[in-house]
Amino acid sequence: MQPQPPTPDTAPAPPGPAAGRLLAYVDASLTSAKVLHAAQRLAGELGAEWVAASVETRKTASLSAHARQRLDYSLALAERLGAETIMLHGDLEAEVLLDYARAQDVTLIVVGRPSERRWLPGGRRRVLRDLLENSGDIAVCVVPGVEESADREPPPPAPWGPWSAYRKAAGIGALAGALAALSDHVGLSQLHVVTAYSLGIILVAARYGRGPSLLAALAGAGLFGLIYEVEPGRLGPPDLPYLLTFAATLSAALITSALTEQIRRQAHSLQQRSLRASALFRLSERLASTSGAQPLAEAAEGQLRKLLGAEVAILLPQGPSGLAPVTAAGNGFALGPREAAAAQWAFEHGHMAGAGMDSMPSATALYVPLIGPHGAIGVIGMRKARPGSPLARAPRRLLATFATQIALAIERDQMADMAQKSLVQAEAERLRSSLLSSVSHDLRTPLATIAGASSTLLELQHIQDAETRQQLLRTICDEASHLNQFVENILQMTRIESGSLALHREWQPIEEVIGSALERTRAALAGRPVHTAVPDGLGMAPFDGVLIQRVLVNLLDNAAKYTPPGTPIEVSAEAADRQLVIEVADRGPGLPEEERQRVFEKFYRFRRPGVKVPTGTGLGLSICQAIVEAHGGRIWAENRPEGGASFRFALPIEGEPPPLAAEEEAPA
Amino acid sequence: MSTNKPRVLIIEDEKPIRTFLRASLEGEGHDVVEAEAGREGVAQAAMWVPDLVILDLGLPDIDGLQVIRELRGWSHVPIVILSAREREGDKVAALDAGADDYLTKPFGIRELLARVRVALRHAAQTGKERSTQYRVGEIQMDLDARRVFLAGKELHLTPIEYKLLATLIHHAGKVLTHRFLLKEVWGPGRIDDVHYLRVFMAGLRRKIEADPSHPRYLLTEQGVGYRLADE
Repeated sequence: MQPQPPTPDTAPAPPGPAAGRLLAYVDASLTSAKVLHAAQRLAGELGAEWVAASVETRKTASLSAHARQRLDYSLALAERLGAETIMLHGDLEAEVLLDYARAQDVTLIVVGRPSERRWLPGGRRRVLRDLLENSGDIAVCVVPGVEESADREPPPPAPWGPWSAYRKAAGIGALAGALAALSDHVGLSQLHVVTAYSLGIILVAARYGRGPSLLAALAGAGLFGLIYEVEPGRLGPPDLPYLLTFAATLSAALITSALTEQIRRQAHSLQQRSLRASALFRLSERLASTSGAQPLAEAAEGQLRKLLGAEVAILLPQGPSGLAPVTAAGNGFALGPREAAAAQWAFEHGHMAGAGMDSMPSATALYVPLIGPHGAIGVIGMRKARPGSPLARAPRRLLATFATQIALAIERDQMADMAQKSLVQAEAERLRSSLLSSVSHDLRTPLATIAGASSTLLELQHIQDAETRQQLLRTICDEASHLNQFVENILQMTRIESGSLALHREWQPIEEVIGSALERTRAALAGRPVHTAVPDGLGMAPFDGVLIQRVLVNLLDNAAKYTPPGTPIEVSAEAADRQLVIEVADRGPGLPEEERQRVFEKFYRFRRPGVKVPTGTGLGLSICQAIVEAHGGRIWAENRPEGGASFRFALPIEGEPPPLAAEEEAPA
Repeated sequence: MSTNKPRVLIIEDEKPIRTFLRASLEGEGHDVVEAEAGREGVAQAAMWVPDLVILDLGLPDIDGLQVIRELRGWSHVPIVILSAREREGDKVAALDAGADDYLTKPFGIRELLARVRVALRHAAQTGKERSTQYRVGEIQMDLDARRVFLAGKELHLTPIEYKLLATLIHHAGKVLTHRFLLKEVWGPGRIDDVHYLRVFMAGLRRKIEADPSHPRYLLTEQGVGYRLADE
């Protein structure tokens, strides 16, 4: 952000979320608990986040153990009430609080009112007054204080303001001077006097800085001169030793004040740095927990708005139209041709451009390129920082750091997106290739058989006896039916995979579906004894009859395919614990333990050394599984203790069947 | 019927299918005429007055359902549907539009000929007065006396079960949609209460079938309706 003359009157209302944040000021007084409860209530009503802040000053270092305990208690209470607690550092509580408040988009400060009793120490009164005087557009809510006894607080120093500092400094200086001048009368040696004078001036210098200390020194010296010299017999030029003392004291004051000033400046810059560090931390925290280009841009814009008090938009390249805002809020960012040119320049050259820069200075906003590891991926546009905000004059390096953070986050997101897509693609590719190999094998084998058998019938009629002809014809018929089954399975799987498998759940007796599935598999099961066991009182269950029939047909077909001809097949159903369990069991060789789960995998075919793999798609059981799972049920395979495999599936029985009117009501 | 030979009109756009249909129907002693498209089929039906129409639902010019509606505008000729679509909804729509039966491609020729026989028989009956005596397998039904026998033993059916069985046996061999059965047995007010139908069908099965979960007579066409096994 470029430095701009502060124009508070004309500056537009700062953009950003309406809710803002709420800050409760916690100190060692009893009022803090009240403040925290009030703040929690307010934050709840406003739907805002809130922070409980205490300020560590030099005074708090000397708090009594009792007071320290109370402060800790208050901070613990704040955390219980759901506040984020922070400890700020500085000398003037109000200034530190307001700095923090502006940086963190705090819109309301809750503070306790000190007791009315005059003899109570005035420290909190001062904090309150300073807060009220300097709060600007931040609202301050004052909570009534709690009566406290006097022993609680150590006497705090007097209130300090720039003018009061000079007044006090002059007073102390004059007092020191007067004391020195009158030392003879009170029986003190001049050495004591000079020491006291110097001490006074140095104290002033340490506390109030250069100006007040100079004033104090001059005032002291002046008064000393006035009183001392006007005494009879002392008229004339001042003594050299006094002048020397004065000069030495003055230099000591200057050095002390310079040192103090330096320390204070360091403290200030340290505080600024910590504010920026926490701003950066908050930004990266938000970005790390967000995904998707648009939510990321929204989060980044929100944080930047809070931090910089500026109008912010993240512009990413979008198709042929070039850079464009990605968020709804960013759309409000006016992007005229001049602005667009500046943004484009920043994007293409990877350098900041726009207002206050060498490139495209005629633009009203500043454009910072978002540079990731693989070049610029977009631009942040920023316009008009709020003058009061502490980061308004944020150095370009800081802006560049923010931009890098955002660029990394967006790029990370894009990479994750791409990785996800390529994973999905790879999976689709794998499926497609196994489908292709399955199709080419299972389609070609029966087709080759049909083509071969029929051409034999056509062209080699002279060498065929009736039995051979019959055999060839039977082969053609069988293979055609395999082909049909194959195509049906592929279609069913496609329907399931494309997500167009809609369940038509209806209450119906399972015996009906078992019956229709057995009817459909009559040819496949020919020559086998089929036993069914469905208890009479089984009642109804809600399921899709057509799809459950498909499950049963596939299970029955499988049983017929993988067990020796003529062996029995059993179908049974039972209901327990609000679920319906249906079993298709055979007397075949069973399943090896490690195959029990794998048989449900797509394109998996059960192989056994030395046994020809029956024709099929390797899809039948996957289809069963998909259908059963769509019903909220499960399917599994077991080996029967007495030999043979058992496939079972369980369907949940949820809700109640629709009621039936008495039969008499229906027309007979 | 103008001649002794039953006349069958095949409306189907696939030549190979028409070829084997013609071969097998002529082998059974039927007269066969072919049409490649819906409009042509409707015109042929008007001119030639067939005894049975075999209709493919997927035609190049107009939808098979449209052909059914046009034919039903002026004719009671039995219609057997051939459909490559295996969606139950299509079959139900065709049956409810007035088709008599359906076969899903691919189908065996024996199955087709059975359906054709059933359809021709029903058509022959509709002209005459309704029969009152039925016999299917071991089921014997006397509508005059309102009595039902299974293997010579009298069955005691509730009024609804009786009406359901009477409807099924009258259309024996033909698939009846849920809607049709509900309308025939309960009247137009219960036309969507498939649940009723299932409950009474289960009761009927328990009385008629030796093993209700492996029925011999009362067959379910999942998602479509029921059929009383005929042969």
